[in-house]
Amino acid sequence: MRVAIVDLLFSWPPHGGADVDVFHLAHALQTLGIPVELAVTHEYGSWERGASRSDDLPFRAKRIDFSPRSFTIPNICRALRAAVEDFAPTVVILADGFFLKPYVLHALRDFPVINRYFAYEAVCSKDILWYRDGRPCPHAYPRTPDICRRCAAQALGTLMRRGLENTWLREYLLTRAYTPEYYFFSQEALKCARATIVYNPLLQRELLPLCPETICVPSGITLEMFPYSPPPYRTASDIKIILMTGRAEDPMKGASVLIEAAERLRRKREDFEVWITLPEETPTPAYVKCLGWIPYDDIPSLYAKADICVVPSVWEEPFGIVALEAMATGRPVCASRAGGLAGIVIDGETGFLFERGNSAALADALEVLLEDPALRKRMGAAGHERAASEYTWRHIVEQYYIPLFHKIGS
Amino acid sequence: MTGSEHQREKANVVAWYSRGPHFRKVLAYLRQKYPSLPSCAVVPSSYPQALIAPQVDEIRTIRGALDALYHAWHLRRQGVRCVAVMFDSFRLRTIAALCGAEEQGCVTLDGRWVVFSESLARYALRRARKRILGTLQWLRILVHVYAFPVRNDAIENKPPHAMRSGREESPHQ
Repeated sequence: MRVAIVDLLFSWPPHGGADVDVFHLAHALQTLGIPVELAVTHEYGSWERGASRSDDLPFRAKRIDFSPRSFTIPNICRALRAAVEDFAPTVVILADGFFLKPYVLHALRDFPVINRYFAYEAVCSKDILWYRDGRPCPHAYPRTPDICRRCAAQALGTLMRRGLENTWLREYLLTRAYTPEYYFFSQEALKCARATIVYNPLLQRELLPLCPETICVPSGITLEMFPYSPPPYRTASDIKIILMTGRAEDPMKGASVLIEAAERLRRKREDFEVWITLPEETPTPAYVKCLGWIPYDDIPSLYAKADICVVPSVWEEPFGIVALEAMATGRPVCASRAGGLAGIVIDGETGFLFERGNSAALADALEVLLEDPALRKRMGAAGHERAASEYTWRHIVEQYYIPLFHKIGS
Repeated sequence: MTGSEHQREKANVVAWYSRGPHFRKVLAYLRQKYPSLPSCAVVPSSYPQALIAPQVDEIRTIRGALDALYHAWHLRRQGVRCVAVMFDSFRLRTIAALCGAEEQGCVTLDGRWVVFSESLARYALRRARKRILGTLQWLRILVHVYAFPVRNDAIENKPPHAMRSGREESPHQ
């Protein structure tokens, strides 16, 4: 068995959970003795696309360079197809990409391709969030193409009118994703995949009509990177640390919900501090510490200092890797009941789930945990146990990927 | 004081803060690039200075736009070797230009150094052109979106144009 992974947006060090997922998947496959090659596109001047050096990666990787001028659909498809043919894989995993994905799927249609989604780009033309007017969007591009086309054109108009461009908009314009032709092409091209992998049932439901073999596969964790650390010893009067990591500056991540919950809690007690990876000068109360940017390698030591971790996302978090990281290090997690988070955290066992955006419910959950060090310890240990037994990369690959490879490769 | 000593005393590197997560990455980059030059961070007065104190030799705080202009002018008089901002925008390019540094640029979110090589006027012209073209493009897209809907009967019944005769006839080839 030989596995080629094609990624149109891979960067290392990672820019997000998708890069982390692809990196660890390739690494785990290689560790299990399965030959693997990662083919990534790199466009000069783009920070999101391929900003990595292939010799930095612990597995075989091929970076295909493009200038902004040569970054065209035929060139991309031709180069990726040639890269895949060179490696002669038995299975191809098409990882991250936005509007170009259908074209690449179509170009690789002679191979058994697994189409992997890390967010909601298959159902939302505006962005990967599938979130509109302060709540999850009820529409989906395959079902309501015209509503989604208008929504995207309006939303992206702000960038276009200012003469700005990001990777999403670049692919939107390159593929003419606003046309009815793109709609028909993309919906048919998605059927070229032998299987589609998503993070949560929400997206699975939307994609099942296009690809009957659409399955949910979680992300994983490398326990060596996020080792268990015993909870810090605190007396009842000691200050406890409530931690929120990740891209907290993104409003979808819900830092404001946590700050609001902390304000509620502060009226009752003063034995806690909240640490958030927000920009340093963000105006917050004195007991909320904004940590700024933290290098990825320093994140495990940050968890080790914390007593409780919070993931208060207000959007349908596709997976929620930070909850899993916190659990692996042995911290109880309070997470909103949204998207993949509801599947990672077991309410009352490894932490607490609360309704999205409900700061009062979060404050209540935090109070219960602050009050009871034994509960924190017990939930942290249960979280670590769950991460170690169900979410190690080795387990994920053996449980989900290898049976799928055998199924579609044959 | 010899000429070179005088030059060294005047030369320094400046990191100019904007709201964003990677200011310490900017400082680390400057320290690595110019390890022997004195460094200065320009931050808003609300910024927690203790966080960056070990990374820089001097911290200047600014209160509002006028104060920012004053500091830029002051740095210009002092003589600056390199100014690094956090994003590539017209406002930040103006600040960098006002500081009069020999080298101006921004450190991107992923830690890359992007040099501001063109003049401010040329940059402004380029941005204006992009705005006009971007607006026209957007209007064209609006026409597409509102004038050519994806018809429901087409979704149900018709095979997509692009797939009827293979990928060579996809919409863009």
